[in-house]
Amino acid sequence: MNEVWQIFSELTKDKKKLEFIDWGINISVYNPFSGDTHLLNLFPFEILQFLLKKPASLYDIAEYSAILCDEEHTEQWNKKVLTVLEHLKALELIDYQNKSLC
Amino acid sequence: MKLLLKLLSDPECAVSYTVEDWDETIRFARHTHLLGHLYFLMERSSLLEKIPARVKNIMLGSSIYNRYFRIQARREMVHLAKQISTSKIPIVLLKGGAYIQAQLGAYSGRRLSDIDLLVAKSNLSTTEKILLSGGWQYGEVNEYDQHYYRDWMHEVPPLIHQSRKMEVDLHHNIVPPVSRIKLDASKLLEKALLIDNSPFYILEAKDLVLHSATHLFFNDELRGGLRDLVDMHELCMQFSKKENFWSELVPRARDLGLQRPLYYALFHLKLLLNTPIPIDVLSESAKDRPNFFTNWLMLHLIQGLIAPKNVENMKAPFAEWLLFVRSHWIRMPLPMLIKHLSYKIRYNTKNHE
Amino acid sequence: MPLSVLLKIAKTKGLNYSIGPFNICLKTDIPLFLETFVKMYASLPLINQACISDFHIQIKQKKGLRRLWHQQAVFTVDSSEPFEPYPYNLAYPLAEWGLNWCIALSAHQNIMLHSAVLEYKGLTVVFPATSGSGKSTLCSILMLSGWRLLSDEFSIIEPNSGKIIPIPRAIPLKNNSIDIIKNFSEKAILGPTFEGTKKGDVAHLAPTSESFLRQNEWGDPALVIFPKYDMNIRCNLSKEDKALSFVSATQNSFNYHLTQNRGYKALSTLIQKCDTYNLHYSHIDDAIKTLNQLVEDTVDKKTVVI
Repeated sequence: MNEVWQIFSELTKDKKKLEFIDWGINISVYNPFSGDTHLLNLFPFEILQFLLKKPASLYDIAEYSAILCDEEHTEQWNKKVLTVLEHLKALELIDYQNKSLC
Repeated sequence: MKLLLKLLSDPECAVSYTVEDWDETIRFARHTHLLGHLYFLMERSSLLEKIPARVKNIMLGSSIYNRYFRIQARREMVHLAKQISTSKIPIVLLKGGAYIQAQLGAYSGRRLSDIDLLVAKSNLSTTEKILLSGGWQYGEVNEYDQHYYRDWMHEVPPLIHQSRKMEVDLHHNIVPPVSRIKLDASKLLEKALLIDNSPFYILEAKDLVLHSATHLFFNDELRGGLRDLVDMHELCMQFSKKENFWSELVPRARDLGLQRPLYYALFHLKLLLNTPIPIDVLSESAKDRPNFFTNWLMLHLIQGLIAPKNVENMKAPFAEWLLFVRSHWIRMPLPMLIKHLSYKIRYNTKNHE
Repeated sequence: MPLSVLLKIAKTKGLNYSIGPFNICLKTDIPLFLETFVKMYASLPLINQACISDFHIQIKQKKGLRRLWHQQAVFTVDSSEPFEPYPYNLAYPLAEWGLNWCIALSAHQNIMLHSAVLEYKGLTVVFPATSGSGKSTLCSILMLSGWRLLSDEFSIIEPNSGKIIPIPRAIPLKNNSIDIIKNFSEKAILGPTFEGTKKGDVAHLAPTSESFLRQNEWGDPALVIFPKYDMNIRCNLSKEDKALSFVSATQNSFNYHLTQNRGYKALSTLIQKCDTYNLHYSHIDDAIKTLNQLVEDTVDKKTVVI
């Protein structure tokens, strides 16, 4: 739980920028680091938007998204959010850093 | 070919090119994979609006293509850096990857298809293990290939990450250990420099040029061709402002045993691209040329392949074959060469059946 | 110009012509090939002054003693031979295929789609191809019914304007389609049938002269239609979801990945500004009727808005 999730650091360099297009139910995003395009649904998109503002812990992300979706913030919910985070990480959109304990 | 060479050495002459000149230049540039580089040169000299729109478009297409592979190379290097970050093993980037990471020479017009890494031989197997554990895998290699790479060559078989497509070549030397040229790679590693804002090292300026020369003139069939020469041209232009670069180049080559490829490189840089090499460096390097007959033959063969004169007959099969045998002769002692070539022939015929 | 004179030029300095945005210099020493070529591209003017060619291609008889008993045709671009030699009588399909290969591999300044593009009543319609869509047959019949052909299978988007650059080429028809087109219209100009190619029998249909004469007029796409041939279905047209259309368009492109953000921008703009439809059909007549109606309705709608 000491991980801080953030936008993939390479995406914040050299004026790179994620390009989003809203298609109604889905949102496409172009990743200038990988050159890949992805189609996201609203939930991962909102998480990405949240992290674009500032890095956050899993707890904070789950708390924010639970309110957004009108769900209870349970351990189950944490797991669901973590799956989405791992998925976004595999797409080279976000990454985590281990927060030092001291 | 003259027109392309002229443009490479002096981009400003683009404004005087006629329609016929461009037609020929483009054909040679496409054949030598230099269209993207020409776009970069035109952009650097603010000439893009002064050349015919069709020419600009043709160059642009190639430039976009090259850019895609540079993006993929950067991406691969970021993942490599992450994977090796905890190991503390110094890893040197070679060639294209190094130029991109250190923003050297004409890196932004360049096309590259793989990432070349150099590590000390003592670190080779550890590095290989680290990469294998991070999702890199060997491409399709059979047992013979494994043996060829590991025992005779200066690298492990190419590695490719499962989810990306860029090939990573891990070397422990820039010439094969069985080659007739003995090169102590630790001398290169000693002088290597850490790249700014990067966990990777790069060869020192003189060694960069020497490696490029070695790569071009000791490679099968001079595969890199004019592109390698253009790399060296751009590097030399950039380094000529550096103190002691020119004065120490030939001594360094001799120290490493690479005076012969340097001689071929400097000779052709001057001849083909009019690179501003100081006269005394050229004459000092000329002392390292082979005997008269070999020299004559080599210069003839090299020019036929690097800078062919006729655009519709740019293949020179006999020259290619001679140089192929020669490059293997440099790299392998004779009995080994015969064994390798006979295997290669058998393997190729088998594949064609 | 008589064929013998053309052949002389084709053997020596080559025939220069523009097809869409590309200048081609073509050399050949195969009379049979040239005959078909002239039939297909009769309305295409030759360039007589010096020009910069995008591609220098050659389609020639393979040299060597073997040609005495086994003639073959070789495709060359500059000095490289990207393909194995073809049987001599297949020189024409080899040349068409070879030119596709040249364009697909190098013209990345544009975004390229594997789509047919046609224009009717001033409206440009894109038909992305999937296998089994019957696109070439549909495209041929539309063209022979008065639509202007911008491209049959190789459409080119100019990324800054989002417009489509025409590149009218001979349409390769396969197997049953050949007879369908022959029977459809007397105006159809068809080349010889090449039997037993990898794709079965192939014959080429020449673009209409209007398609050639207006090849420099770029099209502003208004409709994207995904055709699908299905013998068990009544003809129906339905709106396609935009996100799915966008994904299909990226998969339909030859160089979407290579062109990076340019490709992303071009294809997303295309789908955003076009109405996108699925067209399922079993009878080509119904499909044509439906498409004509759709274009007329769309034109009316636009007029009302103005």
